[in-house]
Amino acid sequence: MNRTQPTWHADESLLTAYLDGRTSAAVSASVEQHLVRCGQCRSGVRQLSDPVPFQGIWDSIVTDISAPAPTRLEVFLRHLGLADRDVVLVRSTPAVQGAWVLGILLCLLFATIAAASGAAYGSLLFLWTAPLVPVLAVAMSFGPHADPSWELAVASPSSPVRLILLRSGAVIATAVPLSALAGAVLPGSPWASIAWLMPSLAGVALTLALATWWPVTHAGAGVALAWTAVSGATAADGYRSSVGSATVELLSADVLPVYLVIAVVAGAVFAVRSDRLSHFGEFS
Amino acid sequence: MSTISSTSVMFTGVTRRYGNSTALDHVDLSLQPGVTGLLGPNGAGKTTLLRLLGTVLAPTEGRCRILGLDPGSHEDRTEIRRSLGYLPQEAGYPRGFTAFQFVDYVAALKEWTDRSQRHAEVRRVLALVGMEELAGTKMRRLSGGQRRRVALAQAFLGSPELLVLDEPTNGLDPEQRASLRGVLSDLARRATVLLATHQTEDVAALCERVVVLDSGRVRYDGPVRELVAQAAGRVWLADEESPSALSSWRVGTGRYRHVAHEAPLGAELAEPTLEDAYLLLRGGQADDAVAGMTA
Ligand SMILES: Nc1ncnc2c1ncn2[C@@H]1O[C@H](COP(=O)(O)OP(=O)(O)O)[C@@H](O)[C@H]1O
Ligand SMILES: [Mg+2]
Ligand SMILES: [Zn+2]
Repeated sequence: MNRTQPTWHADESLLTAYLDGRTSAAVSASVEQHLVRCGQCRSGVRQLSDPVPFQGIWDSIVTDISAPAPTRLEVFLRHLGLADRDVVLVRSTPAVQGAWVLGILLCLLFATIAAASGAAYGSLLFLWTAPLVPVLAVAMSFGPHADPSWELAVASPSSPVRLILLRSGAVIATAVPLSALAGAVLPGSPWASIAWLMPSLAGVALTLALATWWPVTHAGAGVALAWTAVSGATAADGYRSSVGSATVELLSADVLPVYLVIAVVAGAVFAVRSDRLSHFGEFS
Repeated sequence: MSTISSTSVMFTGVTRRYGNSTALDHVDLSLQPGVTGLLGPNGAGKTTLLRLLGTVLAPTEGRCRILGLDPGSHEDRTEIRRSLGYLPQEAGYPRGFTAFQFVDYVAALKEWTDRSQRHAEVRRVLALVGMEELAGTKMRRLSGGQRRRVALAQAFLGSPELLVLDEPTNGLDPEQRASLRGVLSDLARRATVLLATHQTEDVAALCERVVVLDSGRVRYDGPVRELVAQAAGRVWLADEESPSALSSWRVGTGRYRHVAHEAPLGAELAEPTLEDAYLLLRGGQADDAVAGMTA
């Protein structure tokens, strides 16, 4: 349709030299660039060359020129041993782009400000935000509200569950190290900078399970509100007795198994009900 | 003419409701290879019907068979999706993607695992819609028509047996429409194509058969030329406006074209077009909608 007209054409002697491999690398490259654009010279080449091998050469030229160079993220994911197709799927995660990165930076900023403003207050703020980061990121990584091409994903033979788990995995893999880094900046027990992983895990599993009933954005918001209520109430209790004990209470050895149970039950619910995610309209 | 075995889609009594409103009302539809147009005004239920065909929506009532399979079963649905090319009404793209990356992503969703084969296929479909030279351009920097063509390209991946296209010509200029016709008639030699549109020109240009949908019901289903023939003797040219006509409008020559059951004063018969036939068909059921269209 909208072809830009080349301003020059390769003559027969140049094309013959190119086909015989007698042109320099620079000349070959510019002939190839031209052939990609110019149907006239392409048919010239076709006439000059044995048609069968030419098609193969042509295909490889076109593939090389058109395939975009892999991004650093893609190279990294391939190093981790992810299959090429999964790398392409992960790259489409809406939350891995833009808004999500901003969210992580904000979280880090929060934690740093909090750390500077005093230990007890700082750990509380951190405890409240850190588990929310993966939850909100997962909520922003699939579904009609977050992914403008979600309807296409649903209409494809790939299981939406696979896509969701790949994307959630990508999100968690980005969120956890960064939040852990932020946690390490904070004064106080090093235990707290690891233990918050339990409520995040429960929150993510709960969000996925609830997404089989409601849009995932609503599910994520609900879980975030619930967590805010729980940590707020515990903090209020903590202030009445001794400031800072809220952190200890929410992450105490008695409470951690509760998160684990929530995560396991929610994971099972998601597994059983995940078929519902293979429709689009019900969740739009 | 067509045998049972060549029927690729069979909908019987299909109803779809959204809460209390009924978007599709007991629709019967069977499709065979070839290009079928789904014509109807906005809100007629076209997108809903196409979403059912695209297996992304389930019917409230009725029986659906697609490519001999049941979209209600998980395994069959996956199997249908392997043979389906689907262009949603609003086909968004992941943020920051180029045309190539977007089509490559859909190809990955469609289980093209081998990287170089997948890339060759992406090139092929981008070339089909004339977008190979803009393959490296970010989607957001393309024009509306160019984006529509890239979205169309993904539907052609793997030359699917069933093509479901929702308003594929949105944003395309006449030349691009003509080239789309070439691609579709090529594919339709073995594939079943259903394309939804609210424009009669699309159906006249692209389709052999037309299904007219209005308020969730099928108003006409048959060859395009038979629908046009229904308007024979009902289309008139005259120098004056006619208040009794179902619809009247001024044409380029300065005369008035009327679609009417009775001859307006001093009028002569004219050759009907699909648009006339469509107006006539809708005129019988929805006078206000027709009045809106002739304004
Ligand atoms: N997701 C939805 N929720 C509620 N109503 C809907 C939804 N999608 C479509 N409708 C309603 O169903 C009817 C048919 O819509 P649609 O299938 O989009 O028609 P068309 O594509 O012909 O314009 C309209 O009245 C529309 O408002
Ligand atoms: Mg529509
Ligand atoms: Zn040339």
